[in-house]
Amino acid sequence: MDEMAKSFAFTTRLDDIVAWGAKNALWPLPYGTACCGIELMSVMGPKYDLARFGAEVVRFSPRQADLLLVAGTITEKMAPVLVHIYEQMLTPKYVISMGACASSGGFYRSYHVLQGIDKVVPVDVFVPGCPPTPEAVLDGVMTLQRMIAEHTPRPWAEGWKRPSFIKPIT
Amino acid sequence: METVNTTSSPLESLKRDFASGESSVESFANSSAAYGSLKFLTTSTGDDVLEVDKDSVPAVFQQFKDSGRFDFLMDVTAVDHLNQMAGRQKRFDVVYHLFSSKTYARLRVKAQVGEGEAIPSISPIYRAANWFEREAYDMFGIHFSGHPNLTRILVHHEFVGHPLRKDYDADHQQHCSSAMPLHFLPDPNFKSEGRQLLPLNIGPSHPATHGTLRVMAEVDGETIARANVELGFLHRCFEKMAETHPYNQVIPYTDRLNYCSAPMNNIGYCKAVERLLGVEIPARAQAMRIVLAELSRIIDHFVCIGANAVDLGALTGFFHLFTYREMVYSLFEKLCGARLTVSMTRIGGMAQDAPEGWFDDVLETCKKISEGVDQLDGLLTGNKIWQQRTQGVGKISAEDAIAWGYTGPCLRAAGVGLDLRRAQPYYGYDQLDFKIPVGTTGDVFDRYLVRVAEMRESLKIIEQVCKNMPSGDYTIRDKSIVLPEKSEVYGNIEGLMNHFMLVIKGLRPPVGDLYDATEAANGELGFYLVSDGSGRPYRLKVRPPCFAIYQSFPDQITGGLLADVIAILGSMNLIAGELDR
Ligand code: SF4
Repeated sequence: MDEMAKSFAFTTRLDDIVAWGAKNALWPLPYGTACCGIELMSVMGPKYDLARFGAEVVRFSPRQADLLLVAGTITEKMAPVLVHIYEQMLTPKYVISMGACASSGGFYRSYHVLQGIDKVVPVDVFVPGCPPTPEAVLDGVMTLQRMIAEHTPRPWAEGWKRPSFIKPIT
Repeated sequence: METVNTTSSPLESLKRDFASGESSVESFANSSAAYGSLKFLTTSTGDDVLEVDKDSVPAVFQQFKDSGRFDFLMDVTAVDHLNQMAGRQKRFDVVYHLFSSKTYARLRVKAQVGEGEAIPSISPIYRAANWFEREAYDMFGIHFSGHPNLTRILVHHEFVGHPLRKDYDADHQQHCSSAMPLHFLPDPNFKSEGRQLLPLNIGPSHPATHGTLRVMAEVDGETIARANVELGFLHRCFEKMAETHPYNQVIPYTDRLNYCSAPMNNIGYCKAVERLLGVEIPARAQAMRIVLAELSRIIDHFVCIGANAVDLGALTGFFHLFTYREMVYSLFEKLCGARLTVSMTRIGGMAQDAPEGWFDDVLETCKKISEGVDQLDGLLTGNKIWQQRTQGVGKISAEDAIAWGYTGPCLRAAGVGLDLRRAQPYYGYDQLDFKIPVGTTGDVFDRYLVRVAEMRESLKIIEQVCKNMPSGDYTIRDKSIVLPEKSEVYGNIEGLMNHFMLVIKGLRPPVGDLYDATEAANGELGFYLVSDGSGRPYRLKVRPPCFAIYQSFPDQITGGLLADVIAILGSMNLIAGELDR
């Protein structure tokens, strides 16, 4: 990059260009576990068309994704799997929590539901709703794009450590 | 389909069966030598119940099986009577639900089990019992002696205690620290015979496992040598939540069981509570429920076929079908403001009436959907690749399907024409003109064909109902069940008090229990409801159709090709919300 920067004349700051590229080419990993996952299918589907936001390259491999889109309830049993996937993603990585369940456990105040994925992974944008309308999810994606473009500091993501109660997967 | 006379009391002939040849009913007391003490009853809601000693359970079920009287074991579950010990010695009831595909008779068998006691497993007699018993063990800690693999099934493996016991707090969470390694069922007959077997994990986070299923396999080249599944990744404690909420507040939770066809779950649950209350809903509410249910059936099949095709590499179908699915969601939005989780029913009827012209919109949409189905038919049915990926894959015979407890399209694809809309009609389905599509081989292709044919039949039903929509009220007006209209609440003191009382105390069905089932998109969706007369269900057990179907999965894929795993998985229409509850 440095070499390249010397040989070109940029009309703006380099990191702005990088951010512009990142924000318009998000590669989401759709972590759809429940009803919200079905609504997420609508977001990707023909009517709402997430592709308009440059995020149509859906990847199911964490190694190829930079946006974790958690759509649905995460149970205690699923939490270690979620953390594992988050750890495997390449930086910079972003997380959108779609729906009441992922954000807070939703109306499942119950023995087997994790009360919010922010207990185990750092979340950038919470989208409310049960399920959120596709419009709301698109708004969440746009909010994240704004955050990337404006270099919003993300102390929650920088300081993240795996929660002590989850063992690393060997 | 042939009709069967179900008016003769199944209980009477049942008593004769157990009287071992002697026809007089009194003499069945003599049967105690073989079967222990048997007690036949009919509940106030008309359900037949048989109470047995726990030790005679195998003998009684063997008799059912041998006589061919009940070929289906629909469900096995338990009830913790900790809070209602008056008049009982033992804490738990183990409850079995039986069904006959020939006479459509149902029977509930109950056996009492105490704390720390074991009850003989019936999994050697009814294959379908395996997972259901495991679940009862997991949730209640009931021991089934002779069960081949009595381990946890829904909650995670580090969990301590049994969450559906009455002394377990609903919100007492226990963290899980790691995922379980690959594991297989203990099978003494399994030999690797010098083959180099490669362990392979598919899921839970894998595009073809839809987020929450986990399939573990050992492969020999491309062939599956043995397989196992793990579930519980979406166990959201529906049943515990139902116990801690008033009856009407359970409705939104039922939406989230099978979220591909949420209204059908609302309807099934409300129908069960209404039967317990002994009320019949008005004709208009019944018709509205039929329209909602059939629209849901269509979109459920859309999702199933669309996702199945995507998993096999055909993305076009998905985009194509979702266009039509969005149309149905627009209808739901117009009806009540929500798309996916509509919660449109209330106990006693519907939450509100349909807006002006809604039924015309439905008819309009149905025309478009019908074109969509034709196009889907053109896209897939004659498609060589689709045929080669699905024909002969995941074949199952009618006997096996029944033994596993299959219902719905998967059962009908295997050649059994069982549909509760015909077998035990509700809401006037018997007056409608529609057919039950039946397949022959039970393979993935047949399941697809049955679903396509069913969508066409559903469209026919909707058309008939919408054209003859009854007028009248959309709900009953019983003050002890249904909230008054808002104009009443804000307009006079009686209405206000009525509203308060219902909100604070809730509706209170009489003491009793019942099992009620409807034909959901996946098959028989049953609700077993125990009421202690309070404002909340004492116990609510869901019998999700895909739980029984998925149970056969390891068996179905063993010996087959790895690529077929994906085709079979998609065709079973597994919805984790109802599978794990
Ligand atoms: S937030 Fe609501 S719609 Fe989303 S997964 Fe949870 S229950 Fe389902």
